[in-house]
Amino acid sequence: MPDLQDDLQALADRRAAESTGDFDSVLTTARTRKRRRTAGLTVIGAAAVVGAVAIVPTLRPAANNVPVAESPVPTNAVAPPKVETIPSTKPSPKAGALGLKSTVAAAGGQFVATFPDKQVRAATFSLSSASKPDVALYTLVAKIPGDATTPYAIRMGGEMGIAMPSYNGPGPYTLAMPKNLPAGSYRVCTLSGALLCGLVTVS
Amino acid sequence: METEGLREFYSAHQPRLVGVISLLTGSRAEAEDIVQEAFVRLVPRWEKVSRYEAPEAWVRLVALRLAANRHRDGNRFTQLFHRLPAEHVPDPADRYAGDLEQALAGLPMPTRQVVVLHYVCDLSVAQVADALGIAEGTVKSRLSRARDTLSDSLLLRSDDHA
Repeated sequence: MPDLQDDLQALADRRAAESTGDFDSVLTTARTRKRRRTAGLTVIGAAAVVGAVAIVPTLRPAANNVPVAESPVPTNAVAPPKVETIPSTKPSPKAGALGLKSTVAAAGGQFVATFPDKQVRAATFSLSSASKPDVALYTLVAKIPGDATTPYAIRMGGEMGIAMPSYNGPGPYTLAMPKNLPAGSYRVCTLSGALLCGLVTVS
Repeated sequence: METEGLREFYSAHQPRLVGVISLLTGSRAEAEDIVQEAFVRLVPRWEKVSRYEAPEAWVRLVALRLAANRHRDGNRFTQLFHRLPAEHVPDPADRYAGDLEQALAGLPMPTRQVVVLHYVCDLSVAQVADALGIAEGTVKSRLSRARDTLSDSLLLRSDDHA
């Protein structure tokens, strides 16, 4: 179909001859797009950096009170809670000697404690293992005149809610060792007044 | 950037490319716009494309696809330019060219692309198939249908004119 080809080419040539082109506008448009693209990438890059700065401290393992310099968001520098160290027991003053008429007693047996300083104290004592004197095992209630239920021992943490007698006196006090107490060396201390302690061996 | 080389390339190929694309769009103004866009896209790639065996084929393909996209999308831009300017309205002395252009515009865009590449750009069937990414058989069938349609249309118009 040579005629059609010739006609089409002639038509294209005619349109080509009529065309006007502006190379400078092509260059200008291309450069403007490049600047916009660069500016866009710059903005995206800046946003990425800001995002990274914001995210990294969030993902980083908390370093407690180490603040991140110039962080745009709150960091993990959470102030650690103030922990007040409250001693479970007051620092033990130097204990005086508790007078013991018998330093050996059987489990469930009785022994007599006296106060060398003759001071008035409550009829309650603490019983702890000689190896762990700070851990009270029992509270011992001495024999109180007119109270047939005394003397007895109250296991710490086990028999709560038992009323303590408010009897006070200068002693001597008769105390009872808890039943089924394993053999060993135990420390008996006063719970009122100046601290007096003595060792009792359970056979 | 080798601006002078690109300028020479533009001067040598822009007019012809406008003529080719105008056969697809039916509008020289729209063709100029499309070709301008194709060259704008060429600028940042010129260093690479200039080493091709036929850099004009790259620009032509870009322009061809832009024309097809505008035709398919039918966007506002296309509607704005898809009309022949007054200067392009064929006068009686140029009746045959106007009839041919109208007959071409009546073809589907894929067929128009094949016709323009084969008859105007002198590409072989295989080259047209490679450029458009279609089978050679498809190119042949589209050319056949185009020939029939254009012949019928032009013959009818010739009879009318006679």
